Amino acid sequence: MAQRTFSIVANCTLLFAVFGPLVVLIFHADQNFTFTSADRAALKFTLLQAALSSLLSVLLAWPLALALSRRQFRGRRLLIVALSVPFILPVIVAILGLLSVFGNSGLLNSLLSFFGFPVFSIYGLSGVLLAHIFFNIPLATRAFLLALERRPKELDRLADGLNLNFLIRFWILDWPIVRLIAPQIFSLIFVLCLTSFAVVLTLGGGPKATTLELAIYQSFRFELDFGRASFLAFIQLSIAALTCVLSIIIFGLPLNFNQSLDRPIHKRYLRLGSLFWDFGIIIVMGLFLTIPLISVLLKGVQNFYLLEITIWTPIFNSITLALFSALISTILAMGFMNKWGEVIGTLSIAVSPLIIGAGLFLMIKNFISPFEVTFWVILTVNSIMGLPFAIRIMRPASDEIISNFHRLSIAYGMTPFAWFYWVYLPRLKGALTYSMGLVAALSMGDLGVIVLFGGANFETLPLVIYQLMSAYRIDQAMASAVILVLISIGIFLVFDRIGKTRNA
Amino acid sequence: MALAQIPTLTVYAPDYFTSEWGPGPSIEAKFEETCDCDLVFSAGELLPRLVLEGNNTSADVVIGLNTDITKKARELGIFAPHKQDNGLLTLPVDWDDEIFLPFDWSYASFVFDTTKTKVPSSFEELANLPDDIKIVIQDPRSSISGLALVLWVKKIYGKDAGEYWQKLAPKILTVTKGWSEAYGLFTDGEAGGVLSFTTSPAYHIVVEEDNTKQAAIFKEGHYPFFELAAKVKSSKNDALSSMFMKFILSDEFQDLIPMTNWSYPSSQAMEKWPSVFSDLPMPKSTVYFSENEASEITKQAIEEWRNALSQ
Repeated sequence: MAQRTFSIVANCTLLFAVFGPLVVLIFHADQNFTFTSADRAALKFTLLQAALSSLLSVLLAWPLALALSRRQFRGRRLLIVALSVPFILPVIVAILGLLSVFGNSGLLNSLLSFFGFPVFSIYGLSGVLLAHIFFNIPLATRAFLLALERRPKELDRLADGLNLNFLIRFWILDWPIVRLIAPQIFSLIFVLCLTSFAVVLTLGGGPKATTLELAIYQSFRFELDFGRASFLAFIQLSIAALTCVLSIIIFGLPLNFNQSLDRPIHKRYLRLGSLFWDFGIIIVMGLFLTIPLISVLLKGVQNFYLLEITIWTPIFNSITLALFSALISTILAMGFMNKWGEVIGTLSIAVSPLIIGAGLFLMIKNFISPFEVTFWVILTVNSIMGLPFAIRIMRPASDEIISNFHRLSIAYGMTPFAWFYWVYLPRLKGALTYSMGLVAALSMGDLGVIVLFGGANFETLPLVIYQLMSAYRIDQAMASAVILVLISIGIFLVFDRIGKTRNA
Repeated sequence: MALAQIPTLTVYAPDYFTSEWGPGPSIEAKFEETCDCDLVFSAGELLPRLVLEGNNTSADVVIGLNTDITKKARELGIFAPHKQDNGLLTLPVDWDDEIFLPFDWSYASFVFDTTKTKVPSSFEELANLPDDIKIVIQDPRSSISGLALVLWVKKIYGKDAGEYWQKLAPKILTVTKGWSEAYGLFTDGEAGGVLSFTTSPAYHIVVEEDNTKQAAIFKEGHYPFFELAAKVKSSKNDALSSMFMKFILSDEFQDLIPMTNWSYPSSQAMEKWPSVFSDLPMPKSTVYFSENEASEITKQAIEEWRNALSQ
């Protein structure tokens, strides 16, 4: 009962936090509900690239997750952690990393022209998709992997014993997981790509690759037409909402594996062919995801000597923000462990930070100046932005724990607290710590709302990188970006370690 | 109270301006030497913030506005006349604006890596560069420098602007959201040229001792780009704001501009500029839309650009 109340309160609060700013902004300005032909073209392209990006990310992530779940090898954990890095890189740094491989003068084209083949151009829809896949495969892979690792190992043993063929094995063992996780992750990536703008424009090669977010930015910053900006933001929000609702209604069926005895197994019988297949996938995808990162690391490390002592303050600020948002997001997410929570939680990333920032500003300006509480404004926004990730990572695990153990616990007469502490929490630990690591890293890398509420007195690491870029200091910016990456990986590894210790 | 109360001057400025690599910190130090006040920069978006705050703004002065949005800014009616002598300005155009006061300027230009290509000397030559030389520009819908380029082309080609864009399209590697992304692609070697400013090479010469970056000087003339300051009407510190506006035109302020903001000072004869800046190639002529002309033509010019590049 208490849990249900918490959930309702949490949902309502978030609805207010997301819609409040938007509604306030719409009514603050003159209403402008025009939708031009340029907007229509942008909307069409936005939908196309978002749908393709999320579909491809999910499709490619599945075999990778499956391969990773079946194989143990040295460096596996580091690879899995490194996979989450593209997600948190400042946009331009990630783009430069990708271009070092796929760009005009990148690795691939250099190889091609060395061997006398014609060079190719990344710019266009293919570039947009490539970048979005690069950013999002890791997220999808981790989500699949978490579910695969929770699957009762007895099932694999049984399938091996029965000598099931590939198709039947997929249908019986894998499909329930795909059916559960894929729609959730698809809708999350869809919404992320929906609001993507700098990446789409740069790798899309020109105005053909325009998303609705650009029009929102333009109306807000240049035309000062807040009415139009919030109208467009509302359209974007509706599309996101529709996608999430559809993905839940059509596909989001609950898992109904029988409960496992939580006993790990050691080695499984696997044929040589599948060994080659698994490692082939791990190597190809691993290279695709890590070479751009390695290039970024190399560029940054050789410029470390440019870093100044003043960078410590923004580093400290960013870490503080990251840890607190991780904590808040993850605790809040516990109130959203149902499908409507998932929809509402996702909407918070479907509204651009500029709009949320401006709306929040209008809501609180009569009480306090947001510029005097920059830290709290950024913390609030970052925590809300982390919610959809936290929810998606923890909900499948939480549902399983509840369906497997709750009735039993009640039958034993456990108090809610005992249930929560002795049964629920230990089993949620893996998902919980991954969620905290991811939200922390996301918050580390987020420039977001600070651009509006800026920082002469409160600077974060991404803001400093942005300032360096604006001051021609690209080398120093790359070095700072590597610091950002290293800290984020560090935070990830710490949470990962916590998640692995002391299993009940 | 133990301390004498000194007045505060609140100046809104963009992030790049207040950052430790921008002109903000040295300007603050210089001004506080004489003003007997505390100058506080508040960083972030300028106009959206002023609109949101309305009359409750705590800003006394705003610095870092651009010419291309002055009409919108003026219509807000929140700025007061700067009351400085426009005759002191040393700009390539006659400046008679009583509200907005330029503190620096530069010309839009394409900057090239001379190890990769010969630097073109006209828009025609730009469009006829060898196939393997590409340029990066900024989107006029999200970037002020991108907008300056679209207006520049419009001024030179008039009703044929769309046609020129079509001709230039194959040379454009990509379009970015803002200046820094484009410039990053350029210095990373992804493109041979980038839309930037005639003053950009000064950074490479001074800081990196690199003489291979060169701004193209087009015989058609160049579009100037001014950065402006303005006094906020509701300011309770009128005397102090006026003092700051006066300070902007002084040598103390102007001396700081070239090496921190990598642009030309707005009220200083060329003889006083650092030699790196006076040695930079200077366009022979200036092409420019007045504020009203620009606001009439912007929408159409952007549409022509978008249509030509969307094909």
